[in-house]
Amino acid sequence: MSAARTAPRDGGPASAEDALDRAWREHWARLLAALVARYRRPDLAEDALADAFAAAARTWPSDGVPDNPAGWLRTAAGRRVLDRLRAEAVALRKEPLMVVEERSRPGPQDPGGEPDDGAHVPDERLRLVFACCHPALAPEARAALTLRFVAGLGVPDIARLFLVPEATMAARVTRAKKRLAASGIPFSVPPPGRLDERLDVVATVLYLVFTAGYAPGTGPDLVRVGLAGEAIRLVRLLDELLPGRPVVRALLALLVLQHARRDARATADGTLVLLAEQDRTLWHADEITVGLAVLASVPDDADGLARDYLLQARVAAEHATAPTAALTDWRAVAGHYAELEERSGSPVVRLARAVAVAEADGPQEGLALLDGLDAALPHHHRLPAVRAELLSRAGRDDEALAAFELAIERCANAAERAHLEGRRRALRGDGAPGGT
Amino acid sequence: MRFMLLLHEDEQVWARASDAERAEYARRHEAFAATVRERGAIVAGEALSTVAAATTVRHDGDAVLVTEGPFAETVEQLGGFYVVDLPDLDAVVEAVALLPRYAVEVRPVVDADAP
Repeated sequence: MSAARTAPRDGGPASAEDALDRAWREHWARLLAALVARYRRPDLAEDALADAFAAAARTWPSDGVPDNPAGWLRTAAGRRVLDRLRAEAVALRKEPLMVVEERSRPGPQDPGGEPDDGAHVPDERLRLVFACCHPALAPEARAALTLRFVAGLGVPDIARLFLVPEATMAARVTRAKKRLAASGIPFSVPPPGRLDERLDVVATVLYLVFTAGYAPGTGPDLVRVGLAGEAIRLVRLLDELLPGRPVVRALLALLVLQHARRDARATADGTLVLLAEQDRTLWHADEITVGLAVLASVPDDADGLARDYLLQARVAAEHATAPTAALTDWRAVAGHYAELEERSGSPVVRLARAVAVAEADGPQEGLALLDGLDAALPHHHRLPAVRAELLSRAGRDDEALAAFELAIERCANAAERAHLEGRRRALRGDGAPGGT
Repeated sequence: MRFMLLLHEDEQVWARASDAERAEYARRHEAFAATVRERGAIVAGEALSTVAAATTVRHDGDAVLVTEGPFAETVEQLGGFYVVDLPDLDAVVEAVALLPRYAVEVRPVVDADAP
């Protein structure tokens, strides 16, 4: 980016937008973690960073993209935090009864030190994760905070992920943010004796972050590779910090194996490609090798959450090592899902199991497993989508069409809906066969 | 960072405690105090007399109403408090775990001069 120094306007507004987009993806979490670590005020830090990005959006298109976008944003955000701290201090001093002598405690000035974009503190974000996942926060607040603070996700996306209205999630995030700032929750990795008990919740939350990146539900992008990759990076950090923990190893194997398929999951124009139809040469073979090696290191007798992840990782491994969809060991996949369903009683797992059983034993057996799921998954578009697919294979076209209609109506993701619409067209026979 | 610890317990538990049990209470408070002092300080702390001695004062317009009894009738009553200065909530929880089996409400104290 040396051109930026000699020609500030080089590239114009379009490149400023790109730079801002890249800065958000690459630096949001790191900058926020650095601000929180420095000022211990997560509420102010988040507002200040959002303000800094807004200022960048205003000024970069006309003034040019700075040489060091992360440094620019850090400086701008830090200045805003200090402004707010000074304003708060002044407000308190105006209260006559509150006047107290200056204490040795650091006041609202910059604690100093070298400019810090967080790069040299590899686990800063991990500290933020542990703070966001603190047991003193309500369980539903932990994941929401992590997604907002560590992943930089917007409230609408978080709301969709948790299947709650946007206003509910906005209130929840605001409340949690205040609580995080005021309740004395430390911004540190817990001491060794306390680390394991906090691990399950951290693992759960990081899996959610990955899920958010993998299938965000709204918007045009099917895969937010950056967010999913960030989740994997955080799990790797956790694995380095706490070597050999089954729950971390199993989760890492699961995420790496799933993520290895990312480039085959959608076409260039964003159309969803089902697993069976994916070009397997696009799968990252090197990452699959890594994922399988991590999976092999998970003990066979792993229990609790580690077992859930282990079973899911074994499913991912079956797919990753099958030369074609038809040659997949569907019986093994169905077996893993059966154990998972027994452990969790989850209707979503049953849905996945039905697909595997249909592949192994035929569509009728799969359809039978869908019975009774409608009450448990009333708004889920995948249930009618799977049912439509199996009905179509069983030759029950009219019922299949009706199920596709319902799935399309419920589906909020543009890429997935386009796929469903293609399947419906193919079934009606009024267009090129979709999804093949 | 300063925290107020509000210690709640059914008063009957203490009233019925044997000498040995009361000695155990004292031992636990000492262990708590020692742990707090390792990482911070006890700023204040008192045991309160029972709610039988409590008086509640309220305002009603310009009038001041004085009534017998606690602010709220509950199974567990506020029986004592500490104000401690400790680095964070984790340090507080670690110390509180050493106290007798009270229900303890932990409340950060508002710092007028803190940033």
